[in-house]
Amino acid sequence: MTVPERSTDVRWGLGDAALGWVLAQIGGAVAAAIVLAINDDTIDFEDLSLAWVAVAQLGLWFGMLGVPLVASKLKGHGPVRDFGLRSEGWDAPLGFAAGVVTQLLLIPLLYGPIFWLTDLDSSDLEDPARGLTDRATGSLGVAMLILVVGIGAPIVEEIFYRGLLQRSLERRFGVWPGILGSALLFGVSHFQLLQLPALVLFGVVLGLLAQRTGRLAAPIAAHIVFNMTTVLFLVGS
Amino acid sequence: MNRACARPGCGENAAATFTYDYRARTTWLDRLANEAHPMSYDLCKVHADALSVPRGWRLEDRRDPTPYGASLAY
Repeated sequence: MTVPERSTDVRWGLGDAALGWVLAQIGGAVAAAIVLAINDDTIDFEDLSLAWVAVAQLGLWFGMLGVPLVASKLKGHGPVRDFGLRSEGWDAPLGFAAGVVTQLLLIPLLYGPIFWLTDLDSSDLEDPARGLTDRATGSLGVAMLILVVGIGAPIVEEIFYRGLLQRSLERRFGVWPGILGSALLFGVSHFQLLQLPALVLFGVVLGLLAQRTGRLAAPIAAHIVFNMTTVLFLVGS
Repeated sequence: MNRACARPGCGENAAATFTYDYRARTTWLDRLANEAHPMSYDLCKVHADALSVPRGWRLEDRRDPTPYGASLAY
């Protein structure tokens, strides 16, 4: 596999990534606070309908998508050239395979020893996912779940983590620090302790796909398939 | 949907709901129901996992986690 050339004459970098991450956290918190205030201050965020979760998610995506797009327009050549936001031949099948293998093989292998050494089991690992999918009641709820978790989040997160952040880290520190650094922040940013090893591992897989192909299509496809596998399993059950 | 475990002295959050039928001699253990019901009982994960039924009864654990522990990245 040949690694395509990267744009080096760009002025965006780690400062923009940091700004995007901070704006995303602030946007997410503000949106969640507004959503809770509109509903009822006594209700837990975990009890909100998926439609409201989607609205809260928009606050997070504001920084995560807005900053990379604006930075690449103002300080580079746009997201297609700067971040590799395009697809070629085998990108989609490669991403599809990577998403399925990570979800069904790599993560179970990673958690086997954890489950064996602790009193945790697979139901603990899937608790957060089940908490979300359980709210997908009716066809509208399922459609909302697919739109937010299956499509929106993979596209937005890949543009930010593998597009802006990983490429900024690679330019500054090299390939592996770029892959590992973006994977680590990707995992930590989901704020789920038990899921952290799985998300960091998945981040490394996504980072490798982005780095080896030079494009975001494969990691986006992998992310979509990874999430949709869980959605199909949990909604189906 | 935060409710407490029904076991006396346990203040943990409920994670499962069980129901039973005397005639069928069956107890069903399900994921936590969306709403409390007078004919069902909520249990935390530890007490749900340890739930046992009288001799001659059948326990159907229908919480069915995926065998591999499904994850979401969103």
